[in-house]
Amino acid sequence: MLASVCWVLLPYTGSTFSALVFLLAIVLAGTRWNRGPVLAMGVVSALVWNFIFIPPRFTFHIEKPEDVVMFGMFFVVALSMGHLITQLREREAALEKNHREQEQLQAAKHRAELAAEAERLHRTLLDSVSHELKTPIAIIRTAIDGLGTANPFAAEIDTATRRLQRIVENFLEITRVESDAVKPSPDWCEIGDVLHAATTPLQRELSNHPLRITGAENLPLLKLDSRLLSQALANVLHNATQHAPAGSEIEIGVELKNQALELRVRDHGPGLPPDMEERVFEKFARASGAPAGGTGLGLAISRGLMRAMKGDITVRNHPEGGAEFLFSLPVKTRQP
Amino acid sequence: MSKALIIDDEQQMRRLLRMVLESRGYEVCEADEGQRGLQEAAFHRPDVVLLDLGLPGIGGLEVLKRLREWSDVPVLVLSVRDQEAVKVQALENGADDYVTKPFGSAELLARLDVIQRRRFTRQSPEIIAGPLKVDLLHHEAQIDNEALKLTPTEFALLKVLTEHAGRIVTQNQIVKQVWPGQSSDPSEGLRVHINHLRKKLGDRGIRIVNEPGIGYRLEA
Repeated sequence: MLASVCWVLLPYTGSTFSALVFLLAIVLAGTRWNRGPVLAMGVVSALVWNFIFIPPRFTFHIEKPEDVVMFGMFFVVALSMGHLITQLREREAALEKNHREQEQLQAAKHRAELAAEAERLHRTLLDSVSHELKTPIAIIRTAIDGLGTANPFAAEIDTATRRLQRIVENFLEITRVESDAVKPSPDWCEIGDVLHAATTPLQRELSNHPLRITGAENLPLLKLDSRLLSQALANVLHNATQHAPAGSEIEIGVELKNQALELRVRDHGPGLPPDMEERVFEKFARASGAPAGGTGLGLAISRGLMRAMKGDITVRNHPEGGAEFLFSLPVKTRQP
Repeated sequence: MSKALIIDDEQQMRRLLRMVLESRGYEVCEADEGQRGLQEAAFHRPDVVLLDLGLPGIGGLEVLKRLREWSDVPVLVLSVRDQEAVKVQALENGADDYVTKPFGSAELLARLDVIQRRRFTRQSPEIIAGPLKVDLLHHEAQIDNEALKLTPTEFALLKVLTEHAGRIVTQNQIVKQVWPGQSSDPSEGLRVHINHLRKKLGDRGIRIVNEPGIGYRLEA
């Protein structure tokens, strides 16, 4: 089509003009198409120009030496133009791609920052709620301590405050467990230290229940997070003191089995109602006949903590009566 | 009469602490935030400081760091539960001990007594904690006048714990004194030696109590 336009104009313009028109077409094509077609177009236009516009026309034969030079120049210019333009376009495309990738990266980074910020905010909120709730309780307890519990009214306040404290701590703890804010930091420890840490805060409740501990002697050192394990254990012990009749024994058995620590807590209470074996670990699950004052969170926390440590806790009714909780936790050991 | 400085942002807590301390004959001054606390400490020269870790503005840890630049007054840290990492940091920044809120006044007063007694005068080569006697001159330890057979490491360990009798010592603090210059994680070794030491101490009125995530306390 270009050739026919130039053909019409030829008498007025001469062959040089049509050469320029072809070059312009190549430049334009270069902005649209890839290297291959543009180079092909360069070759074709050179041949067409030769064929149609260089005398003698309609042959590929060139008569005058200056026309040979012209053709050669046209050929080189057409090819290099095509080449340069497509190169430019490729570079632009690469730049564009780079830019897009950077934008995607930025967006990903932004999302990560947002998530981190949300987590930080969540933690700050938890910390400040924790502080706000615990401070008044601490003040009340210190005040009652100063008052002495000789007065029966003060004794009632004391009991209620302890209960309130347990509830608040349980709520905060279940929030932490559920938001994966519990990060175990295992260290070498003796099982005796874990048992000591679990029972010390329960002295009051355990005063009614003699503890019988078996298997804790001569156990090797264990690598575990003693704070989390003792907390999980303390909740189960507290649960036992709530369900088993006063004066009944609570047994704690410790053993190592296949690179795992197995800890059994058995009480001599009524045991679990049928089908409660799994449900007791659900939040707010409370067995019928459970004494008032529990939050239904203690066992859910224990399970959450054990699972955070890649262990677990289960329960069954002991064949000879009473509930038996089983803690299992993979541990590294070392003979002292 | 001992002078105590309370640095806590909770007014009610300060008031309560003041009552508990004054009933024990302490002279009490107080500050509601860190900067003022430091000023009060410089002005009143207290014999003991009760420092809340959760202060607004410059936090408790920072107050402790700045206080320790010029003072070695005994510091008791007041903290809430679940702050184990911060407690350890405070102890390693120079706090002498901590109590966890809510605390009983008996516990608080006992801790205060112990940390003020820590001005351990090095005039005698013997440290005594209850039935335990550690003789630094002859590198010997006795319980009820019965000599304990200890390895050099166990003796060093017992020495550190007895020097701090009644006070918490963090794992790092023990390691630094017993195995100076050791870089690899020695917590495993520490547990092993504690275990041996406990067996040798037996059940004779001296106990090494572990506080999970924090350290050890020798109780007589």
